[in-house]
Amino acid sequence: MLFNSLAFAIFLPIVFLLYWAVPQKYRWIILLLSSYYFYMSWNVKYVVLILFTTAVSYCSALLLPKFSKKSTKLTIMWLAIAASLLVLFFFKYFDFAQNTLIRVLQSFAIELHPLTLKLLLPVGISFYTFQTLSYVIDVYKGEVEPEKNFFRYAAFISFFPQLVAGPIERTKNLLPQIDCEHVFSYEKAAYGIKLMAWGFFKKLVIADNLAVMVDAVLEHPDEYQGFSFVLAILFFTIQIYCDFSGYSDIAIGTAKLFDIDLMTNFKSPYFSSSIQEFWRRWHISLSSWFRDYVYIPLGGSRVSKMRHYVNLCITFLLSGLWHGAAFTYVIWGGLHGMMQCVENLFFGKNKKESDKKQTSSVKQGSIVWWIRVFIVFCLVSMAWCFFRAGSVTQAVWILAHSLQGISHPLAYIKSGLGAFDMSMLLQLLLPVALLGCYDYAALTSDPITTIGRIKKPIRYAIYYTFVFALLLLASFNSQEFVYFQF
Amino acid sequence: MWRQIGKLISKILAIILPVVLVMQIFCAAFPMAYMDVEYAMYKQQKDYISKNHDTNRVLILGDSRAKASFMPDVLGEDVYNISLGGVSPVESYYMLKEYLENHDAPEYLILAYGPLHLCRSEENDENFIFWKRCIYFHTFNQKDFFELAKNRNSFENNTIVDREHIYLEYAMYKFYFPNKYGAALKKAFTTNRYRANQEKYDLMVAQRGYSLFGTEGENGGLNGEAKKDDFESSDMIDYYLNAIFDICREQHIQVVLEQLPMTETSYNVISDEFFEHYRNYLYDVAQKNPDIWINPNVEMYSNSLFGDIDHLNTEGATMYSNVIKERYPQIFVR
Repeated sequence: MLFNSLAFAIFLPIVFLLYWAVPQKYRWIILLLSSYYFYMSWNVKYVVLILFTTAVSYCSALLLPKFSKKSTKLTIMWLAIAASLLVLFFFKYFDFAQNTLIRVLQSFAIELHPLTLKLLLPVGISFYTFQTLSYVIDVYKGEVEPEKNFFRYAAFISFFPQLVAGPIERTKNLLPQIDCEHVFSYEKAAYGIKLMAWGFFKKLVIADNLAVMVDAVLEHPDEYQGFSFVLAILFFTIQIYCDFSGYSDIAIGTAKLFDIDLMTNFKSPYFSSSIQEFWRRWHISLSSWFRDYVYIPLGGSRVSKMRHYVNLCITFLLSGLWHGAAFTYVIWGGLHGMMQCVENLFFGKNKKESDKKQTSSVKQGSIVWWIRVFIVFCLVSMAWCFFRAGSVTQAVWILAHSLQGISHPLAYIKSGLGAFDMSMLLQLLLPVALLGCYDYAALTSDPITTIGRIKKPIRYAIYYTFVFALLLLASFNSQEFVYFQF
Repeated sequence: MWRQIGKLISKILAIILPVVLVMQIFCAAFPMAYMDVEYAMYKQQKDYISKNHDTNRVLILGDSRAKASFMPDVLGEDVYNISLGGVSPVESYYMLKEYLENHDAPEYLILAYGPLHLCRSEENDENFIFWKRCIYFHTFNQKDFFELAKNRNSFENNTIVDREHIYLEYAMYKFYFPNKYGAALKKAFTTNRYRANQEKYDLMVAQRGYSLFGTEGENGGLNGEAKKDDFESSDMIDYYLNAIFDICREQHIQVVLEQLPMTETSYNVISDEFFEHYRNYLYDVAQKNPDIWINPNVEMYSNSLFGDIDHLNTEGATMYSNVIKERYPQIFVR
């Protein structure tokens, strides 16, 4: 059941009304049942996997406090992690690992016949697996108490707004909210609706329309060259952001209807003046997960410079691999790791200061800031090429050919633009400009709250125009969210 | 709490409903202003079969290839082409039924479809357009739709009509929901569709239902049949093809099942199995319906006579119409 489907448009109001209709103590049961129904609507068989992962993490977390010996606790934790990761590996990485092994062995003239399992990647497996892992680790560390009620815990793991594409919630934030006292707040629900509308706008108007143009070029790279590649990569940069942050906005907005606050997942990432800042703003729930459960345990930055860089690279390579079972994702992660190392090497001193303040080292809005934002945007876009391409060779080929013909700038631009439907491009100009303004404003304030303070007639005029633009410009082909594949 | 929930819901509806309503009213009132140019063809045909009461001696019924191949101007004065792009005998049956309700029965009905529109349909088959055209353009009668929807499960191969939540889907088209018509509205913002549609409509009237599709001077592309491995018949299409024969028998109309030419490129690529099974299918139809005149031979025309991969250009259509005229002197020479 996609958020952008008719089924969800029927499902959500029913769950919403049921949730508020039942007494407080049963509300989490509505969430559990609706979440499992939501998940089973993709494929009933998938439910076995989520149940298994939930049961393993639940049992091991219950066992952990029963033992005082650290080594036993550690063994239980690692067993739980291994069991969850094994499921993830089997369904997501088996083919990739097998093909890689076959290729390596082939170079030693050893032939191995591949096993064909024809496994479908269960939707959201990477997301809920990581949520269960963080729960077990937090319980092991003693940071959270294990949940005694299996079903309540299952409701936390399967909470439908964030189940298939995050945000990857932390136990401390979401679990207590599943069963705490909820009071319907009109303001909160209205805010949630507005956030959902903005998420739908990003997904249906910008991402899905851009996807058509991006696919046309990047799925047939041999038919294009030069500036068309530059534009296609630029469009993908916007598409992936709108697709994923759109999903997060809808998820967060939906959760607010149930008086539940999910963590912020995106904070205007393309207005980052450094790669490190980009990762503090992009897919925050995943990057903070890797920071807390991989990077810091590896030693983080409190080690030798060389080891710090190694830690960064390992973290980003794993983050790349989390996204998909292909070398393109690994290289994408590796590139981000390398860029952070280089950034640290050259701007390390300035950064330490700014990191402490969690702000950019240059003044927002200054020329230097804009130049840095532009450079970071270009670097991030270039890395997205690996993320989107069908293979590493294809990505390299696209990048290598994107400047072809630049010696004749006018012809270069003209031929590049010629690859796209101009009327569609023109129609997307305003929505993309609106996205830019929204994100820039979001650096210092919350645009939704700001609009809410405008005088009623103007505010309603904005709402009507927005709904009209959404209905008119949206692509209603129910395209899946890109991040579902992870 | 419920008062607040009510307030939230009413505010959402107060913002969304007026916008949706305005869009629906515009879509319903001004279809020529935003729909693509094929709408003009469908509308002209619908207007003709439902409102006009001419008497035609020869009626042409088929898909877009038939529409682009049979030129009434060449064939004779009392000939009319009511073929439409993408239709199969399923839609054609209802079109013929409506035509006969409003006109005197013709003496002859020439049926012509590309083999693709007589073969088995797959799920989301782009070659069949019942939803994307007939329902989308509102040219299919509601009563007929309900009959078709009700009967669809009696066919094994019903993907032309079958859809998930079929009645809900129909209602969304019926009431011009923005998710169905938004894309066309959006396009209409940058192109003057009303003028293009009106011009096409007038041209269709002037040419008695004939329409050019491809405008190229030559085309050597591969058609849909060339991309298929084999020809497999469909029980639903068979049923409606026979229903057409039956309705014609009742009204003493002589039916001719003709074949339409293909580009030489496509003809040479299409597998022998495909042609053999298609011919066998037609022989089978002929055996069961000995009163129907059936030509089982698909002809190959030079690429220079095609305006696109499927359709004859003006030169090709003129040539084909003359060939048909000579082939059936009893129909066309009086």
